[in-house]
Amino acid sequence: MPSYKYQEFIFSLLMLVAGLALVVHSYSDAYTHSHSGNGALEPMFYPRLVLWLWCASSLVMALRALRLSPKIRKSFNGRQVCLALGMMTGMLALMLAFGFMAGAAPFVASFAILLGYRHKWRLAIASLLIPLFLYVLFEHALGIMLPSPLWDPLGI
Amino acid sequence: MEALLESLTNIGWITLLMVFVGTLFGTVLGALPGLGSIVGISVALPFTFTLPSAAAIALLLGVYAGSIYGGSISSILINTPGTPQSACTAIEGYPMARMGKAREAIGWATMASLLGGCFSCLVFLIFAPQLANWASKFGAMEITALVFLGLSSICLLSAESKVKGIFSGLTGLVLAIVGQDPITGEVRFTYDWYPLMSGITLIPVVVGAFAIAEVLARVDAITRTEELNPVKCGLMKLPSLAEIGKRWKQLLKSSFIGTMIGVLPGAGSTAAAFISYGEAKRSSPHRENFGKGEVDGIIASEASNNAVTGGALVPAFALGIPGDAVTAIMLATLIFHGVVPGARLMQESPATVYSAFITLTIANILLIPCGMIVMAMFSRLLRIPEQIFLPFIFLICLLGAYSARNNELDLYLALIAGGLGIAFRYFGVSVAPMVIGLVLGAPFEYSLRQAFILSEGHFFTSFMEHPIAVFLLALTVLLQGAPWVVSLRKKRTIPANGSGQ
Repeated sequence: MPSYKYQEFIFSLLMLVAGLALVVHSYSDAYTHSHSGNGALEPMFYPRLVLWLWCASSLVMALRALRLSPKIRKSFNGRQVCLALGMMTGMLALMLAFGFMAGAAPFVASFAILLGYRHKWRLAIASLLIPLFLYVLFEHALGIMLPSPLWDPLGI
Repeated sequence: MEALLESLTNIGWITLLMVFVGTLFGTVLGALPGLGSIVGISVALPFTFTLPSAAAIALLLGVYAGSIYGGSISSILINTPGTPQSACTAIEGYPMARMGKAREAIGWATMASLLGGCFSCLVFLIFAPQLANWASKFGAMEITALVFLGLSSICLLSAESKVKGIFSGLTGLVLAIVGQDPITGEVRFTYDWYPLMSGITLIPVVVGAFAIAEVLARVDAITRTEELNPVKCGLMKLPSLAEIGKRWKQLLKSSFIGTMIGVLPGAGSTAAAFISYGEAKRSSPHRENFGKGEVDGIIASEASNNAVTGGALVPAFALGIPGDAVTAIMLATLIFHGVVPGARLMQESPATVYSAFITLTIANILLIPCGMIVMAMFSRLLRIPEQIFLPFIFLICLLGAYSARNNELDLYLALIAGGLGIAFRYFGVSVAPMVIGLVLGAPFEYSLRQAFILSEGHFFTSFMEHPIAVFLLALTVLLQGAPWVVSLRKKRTIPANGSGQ
């Protein structure tokens, strides 16, 4: 695992690369048309200004990261956080594919288990009640439709 | 005076009941992340058609004031801004809650919201025609200078490093350029993906960068230390008169900033909250405590964002220009009830206008009982084990982000913003400047390009011909430059004292 100094350097470098990619995109043929070269009327006038400044700030961040002491350490459980983020992504995918309840119920259970909750029956009840409560709150109380699944025979 | 007395007779028991119902409903909705004023107004709107006009406006104003205030409750208790306007409240309120001072934090947020809202109503009652006249003088140059002043507060919002703060602010500006060009309407940076045409909106980014990132941060903390540390809270503890008296300057300044920004169409309460917070961080006698649970930060955010509610009604009623979607819906409701807003409304039916402001004042006073009720609800929620509470928060945030536009893109945006938010936290990059960049990016681009176009190539010469714009720019330079000058003077003074000994 690289030291914090190089982690921050890599992060700043990634931001710089992303910024440069957007700058290159801003000069593409998609934006070459009648307003080109027309100063403030040009759609890319302002975005290029902002993107160049963003790249400059990323570069400064990267250079400052290199000057950090290699002894700096930060405690962070990256693996568990990535797992949690993966669960959130999985929940989203299930919800969009099969409906809100299909995504939310297993998510509540698995997330609580990840955080060390071990009371099985309470967890089972919570995994059903929480999505049900939210479904009633949004769909019926507030009249806000939840995301529609691709396949939804039960209408939930 | 006669109009004022007449307006008091317009307020009957139905109006008072609707103010209470609207304020309570708005507070509950504001406390739920991702929902807020627009959803609240939209849900309440159908009920207004069967009500008398004063009661209809009272319902909507109650929802408006309540929803802006309600966001502070979830900001403080679970570090999840219920509304974007309360993001700064989370920065100070949540650390206070973790220190066991949740009751005091919510008490201060409630009092600041009440006083800020009442201040703007009082200012309107006295100065409405003059304020409307002042607002009409703001053109492209003035708005550019004002928004630039707001953007410059980015430097003050960053806790760890100014460079990282500027980077974060620029990230927000970059997010704001995705979608349609505000001048020509052409599509930018969408890569031919249709959902991106409407751009990246604020709510999913705020929900993701604050709330989802907080959930992930708690995952890290719980799995590393195996310690659950839920915030506990009881009844709200309002500050005493003596405590309020000690902070009167901050209250007054923040209320003033919110009222003045609210008067300008399109400025919005989120911008007011961030500008006020940045100014408080610069000038507060307790500035070293900012980010660790400083009351002045809560006051700055809440007083200004609620002061906007009164200020925003000035251009709406006096000029017929809605400042945002909420005031647009209110104007539509007025027109439905046969009241036409504009310059003539102030002359022909001043009682209608005054009764709206008296109603808004009552709504602000009702924030105390409504806040107590919602806080009692939240305190029951907080008894749920944190391992179950966190997925519940995530789900409600995700659905809140979706409810703004019913657009699936917002679900992905919230998740991506959550990942970005936790990465920013790890690398010491403050998220607040990114939010302000996103909020102010579009109006800044629009006004800047408009100013360039109108000046026909002579931008700087034209700029100097707008005294309000020049004043605002000078103010920006002064506010940003003053700390540098002071620190330089201190560095020069210390060696001189040492060599003299």
